[in-house]
Amino acid sequence: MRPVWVVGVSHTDFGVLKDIEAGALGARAAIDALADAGLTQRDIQVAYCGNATGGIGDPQANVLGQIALRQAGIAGIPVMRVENACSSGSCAFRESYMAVGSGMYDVALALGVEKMTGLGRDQTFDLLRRGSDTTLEGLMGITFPGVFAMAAVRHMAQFGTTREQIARVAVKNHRNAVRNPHAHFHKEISVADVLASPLVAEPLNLYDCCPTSDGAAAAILVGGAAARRLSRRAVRVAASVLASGTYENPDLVSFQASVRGAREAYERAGVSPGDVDLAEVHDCFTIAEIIHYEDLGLCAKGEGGGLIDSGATEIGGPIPVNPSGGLKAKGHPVGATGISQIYEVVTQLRGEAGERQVQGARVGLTHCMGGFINGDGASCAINILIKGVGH
Amino acid sequence: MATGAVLNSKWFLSDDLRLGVYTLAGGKCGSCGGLWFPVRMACPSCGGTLITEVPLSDSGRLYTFTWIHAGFQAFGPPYAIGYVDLPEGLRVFSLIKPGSRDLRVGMPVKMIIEPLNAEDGRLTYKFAPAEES
Repeated sequence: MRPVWVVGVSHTDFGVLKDIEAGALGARAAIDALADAGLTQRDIQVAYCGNATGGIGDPQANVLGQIALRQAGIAGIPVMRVENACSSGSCAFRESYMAVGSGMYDVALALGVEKMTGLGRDQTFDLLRRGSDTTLEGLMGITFPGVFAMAAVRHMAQFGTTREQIARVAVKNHRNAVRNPHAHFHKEISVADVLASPLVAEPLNLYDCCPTSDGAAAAILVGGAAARRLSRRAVRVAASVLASGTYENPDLVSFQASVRGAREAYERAGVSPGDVDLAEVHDCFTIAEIIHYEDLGLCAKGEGGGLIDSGATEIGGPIPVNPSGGLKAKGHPVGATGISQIYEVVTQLRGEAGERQVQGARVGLTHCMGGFINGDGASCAINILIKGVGH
Repeated sequence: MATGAVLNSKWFLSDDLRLGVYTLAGGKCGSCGGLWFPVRMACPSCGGTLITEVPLSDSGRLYTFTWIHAGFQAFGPPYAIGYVDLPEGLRVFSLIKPGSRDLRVGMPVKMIIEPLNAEDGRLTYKFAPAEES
């Protein structure tokens, strides 16, 4: 693969966005990313659009990429919608990376869009359990909070992780999101608030769970001729990896797709966990972030609770995790999340993150999972981005 | 004994099912001996396609569980789900019927057969607390 650079990123507000359909949301992100890159519509040669709930959350079930790009003034080029449940956006990014890295295209647009608020509760559950095995647990009333609640029960029983440690993830991420203008929530919460919120699936309460949100984000990747003159704001894609789970006899305290993906990503990027300056990880539920600390090698298996307690994953700590506010407080428009993580890491590496800036950030990691089959993540996409222009 | 349509006949030994008996069925790989639940078309370990149905135990231990409060109305939340460890070394997902018992990790559980939920009468396996032996 030849070198691939991210030269433009964009991010809409995440939240309940009324009166704008998925196509227009995507167009907004595409236009803003082009402006950030200093490129025009004619420069985009290929595009991938991450979207998971099209047809339910928003009427556009098919060809959302083409619909969004048409509004952004782009047509004719190869475009495809990419779906991998919650990692759809990351997978759209990876497709773009491979399209450019292979030498087939010089400029790619990775778009992530989701409109999914405004559904009834049963409809929302139904939507989300599509990422599970619909021939087994999907028939037996599984919900995603249910999967992670079982993981929490096991993590607490096996490693002594406490309920308070788990809740602290939400507290941290809400505090970070106050400094993120695009975040869904701008409200700090306490551990007491988390524990007092309604029970969803024991021991997880409402505030342990990420919201459903609307939103879009985009990234522009270049290589070859388009990478001959790069600004200091360009960020190199050192690794873009995708792995799937193994699903048999799951232990629920570790996700095989994350472990495999992380190992491959570190190897391809030529870095170790200790080199990572910040990470945006898939905190669909608080306990998930604790497990991700371990699966990504930021600490040993079972010590994730201790890591959050130590403050190490705060913005000022040695390994900030989810400085953006994460899925929990930034929001989780499913197809957009993967690109949103890229936006955060790129913004941080550019030194443009304002009040949530991680000082001296040079190596950033994004980790996004999608789908759960028999208690194991169905997909995990990991990207490692490194600052510094130089071929 | 419960009789009637099953939720997924693949989960049960076909011969027993014909007799109205519900035995959880694992798939044993003829090439490497690997055992999997549910039965599938090819072995996850070696890819072999000579899979035969074998009977599985009807009791095990609760590996983990949760009570779902925000869930599907048809199951009458709160309802319990969990993973059961069978002696054959398989970890099986199941609805859990605690009755009046408190659930705890490691407790012995036994398979029962009953309708899926209030709206769907198809029969499925579930696990319920068993007496300590």
